[in-house]
Amino acid sequence: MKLHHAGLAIVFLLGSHAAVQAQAAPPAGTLPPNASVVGSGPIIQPPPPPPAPGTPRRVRGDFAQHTRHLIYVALPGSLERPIYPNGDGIVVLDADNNYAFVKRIHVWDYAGSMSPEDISGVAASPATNMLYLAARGRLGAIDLATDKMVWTTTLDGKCCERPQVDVDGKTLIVGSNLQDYWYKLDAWTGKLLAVIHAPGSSSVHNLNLSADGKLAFMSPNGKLLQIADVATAKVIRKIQFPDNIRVQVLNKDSSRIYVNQNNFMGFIIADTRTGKILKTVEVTSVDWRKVWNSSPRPRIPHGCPSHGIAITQDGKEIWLADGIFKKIHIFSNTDDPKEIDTIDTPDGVFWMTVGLDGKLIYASSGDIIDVATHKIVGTTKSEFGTRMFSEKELDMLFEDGHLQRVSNQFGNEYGDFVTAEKMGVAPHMPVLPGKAPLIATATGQDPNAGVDWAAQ
Amino acid sequence: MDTPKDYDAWHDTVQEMINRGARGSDGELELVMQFLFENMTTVDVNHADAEALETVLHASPDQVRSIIAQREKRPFRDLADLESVVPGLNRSALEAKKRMLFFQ
Repeated sequence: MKLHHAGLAIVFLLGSHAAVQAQAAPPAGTLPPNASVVGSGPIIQPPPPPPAPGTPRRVRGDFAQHTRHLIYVALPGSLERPIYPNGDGIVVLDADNNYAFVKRIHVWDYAGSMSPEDISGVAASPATNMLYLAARGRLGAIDLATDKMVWTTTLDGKCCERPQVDVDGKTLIVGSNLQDYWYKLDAWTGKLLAVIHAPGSSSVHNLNLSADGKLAFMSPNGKLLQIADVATAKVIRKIQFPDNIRVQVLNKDSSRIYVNQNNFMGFIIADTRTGKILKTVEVTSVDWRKVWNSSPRPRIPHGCPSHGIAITQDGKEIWLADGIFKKIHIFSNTDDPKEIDTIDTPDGVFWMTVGLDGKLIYASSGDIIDVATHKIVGTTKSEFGTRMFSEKELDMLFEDGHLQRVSNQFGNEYGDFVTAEKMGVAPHMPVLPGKAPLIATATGQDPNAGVDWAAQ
Repeated sequence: MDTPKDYDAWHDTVQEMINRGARGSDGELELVMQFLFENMTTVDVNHADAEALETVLHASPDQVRSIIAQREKRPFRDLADLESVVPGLNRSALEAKKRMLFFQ
């Protein structure tokens, strides 16, 4: 290509991206020193000081691949909204374009006369470039470069709850549907590797992995949390809570777990190494007990005053959902947490997903909240402009169709794998580079069709 | 589009275009950057490296060496000073690009 062709190309490329140019213009009245002004033309900024000697110039053709910052909202994503106001599938929003609708990914077929399965959990892996979608009845893996289902498994017919995938994309842990065991799967193929039995913890519900993927924190909708060694698929510790455990999140090094609990607006902090309860923190800024203890008790989604908790990635704040008064209570994350702020939300919040780099929180009410200012800054909306209620959302960063970073569905302090590595609590994540060929291929077969479940 | 800026700023702009969906092979993007470097890039004559001087001023290697040697003695004041000290520069090309040339 001759240079004048390149000139035409740049005119073509830049002509449709005038906004980029506009962003580079200095504010009115801020003429920089030594700026060049030609007539009424634009102000030309002088070049910055030269880099240090020996600093290489950026290579002309060396650009990052086409990047997309997207929010994946799985629907129906709340057990508490059975009228399915936004249909089913995964709605993709453009985080860099005011959350504009991008597309809806078809997941599973449903007859119009039937109700789609509620999505019970979502996770994704930059190592496999797959998104894992759990429903009460099956688990599916979607190739993120094609949005096609690579495999779907029903396991023993009693799956599935929240999935979590480890940093290298080799292991996927997912809960059974309200039984007393979790499954350990090959994250690439979906094949069963082991069953993690947790007697005493029936009604399997929530799951977190330590940032290094070595420990699984498995909680039922019950009082006994069990911690398993992922490598051996064996329970190594247990923590008894006063009431049923609901949403749980981990601190940076997974030494502490913060849990919501039935019949309580607040959270409990436990030491995961000693199994001791360290602190019980109750919301006192609202008279939740008066409402909760009234007769008849009002219908509160999830049957729990607080169903949703997140730790900000700077480790300074704990965000707590208030399902009674439609608020988020924000506490200082200290040894003696105090409520420092309250956010009113248009609808009830029953889950909070912390976005990449910890800057935004995606509340299940559809509200997008700035962590620094505690202000609602956006709304997740469907292609029809309707607010989406989902407790199953992921914040994802792509390069050329390959996932590079993904938030966790749970609001753990260590954030995503990249953040956890920076914190020194996770190894380096082997990401598929942007131009890597796809490896996963759909087989159409349940990878666990031949498993002898009685032997597990 | 017609506002010159420094090399890194152009690199950021092209990256932003790619982020917004512009497509091109590595070679095509390299040509785009080369075009911008040669025609739309600002340069501080008293501090720029040899590659920038050669590309933006369309100067020969000998002329670039002369510029660097001279500015170590004293910085250039303006375009006229540059042209008087370093003979043989493409006067019409420099005149056309004078708003992109800085003497800091």
